[in-house]
Amino acid sequence: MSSKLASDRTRKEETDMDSPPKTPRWVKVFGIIVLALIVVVVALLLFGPDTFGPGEHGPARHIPSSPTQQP
Amino acid sequence: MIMSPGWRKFALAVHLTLSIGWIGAVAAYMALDFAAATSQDAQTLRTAYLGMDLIARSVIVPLAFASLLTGLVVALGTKWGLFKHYWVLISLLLTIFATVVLLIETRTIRYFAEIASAPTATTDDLRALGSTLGHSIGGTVVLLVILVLNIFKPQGMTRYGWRKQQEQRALSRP
Repeated sequence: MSSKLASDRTRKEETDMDSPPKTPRWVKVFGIIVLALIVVVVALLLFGPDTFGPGEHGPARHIPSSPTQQP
Repeated sequence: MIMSPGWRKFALAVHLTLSIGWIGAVAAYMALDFAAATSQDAQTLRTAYLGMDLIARSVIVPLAFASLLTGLVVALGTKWGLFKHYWVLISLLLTIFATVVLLIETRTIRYFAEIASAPTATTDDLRALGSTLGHSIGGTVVLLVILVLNIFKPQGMTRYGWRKQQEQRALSRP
């Protein structure tokens, strides 16, 4: 019985080795999460509050658009 | 080229030290970033922004590049390879992404430090600067994901890895 199971497993592994491996489930889940995060970030950049709005993200958002008036 | 066991352990030790050091440096940076985000005191804000700039430029950026470089050495010098396994490939992409965002963010941090070091900057000027807390937290999460991938090494070979394995098998057959 056990030798049959072992031979089945070996046969399965050999079959697996002869065909390209499928993408693992964890990679698919990871990809979906990354894609969802990208969608959220793009949505925030386009429609979010001021700090995420168009042209408001990145170092430029901290720099005043008009020069500070000197006394 | 596969490294000898001694060199492999040495390279791995250096890579681990630099990578964990990167996470530790980001933790120290986050403490100052949190102070910059919440404090109303001019002296605290000034000190926080100057400290953030110093840690980012002198510690975090060098550690990021060193970690990326030693990671490449460890991957290419061992059986894992760079593109053969999903966990290595994803770790590489995440490290490159974190390093690029870090380099962009250093411009913001530099600007904060320049304002903070100006004697004419008022408390309102400093308060208006804000913080980089969002990026700090996001960066930490990315680094922790890389850490988990490197510890658990989840299985999964890429098509490229499978092709290479088949080539090796064909060569080793009599």
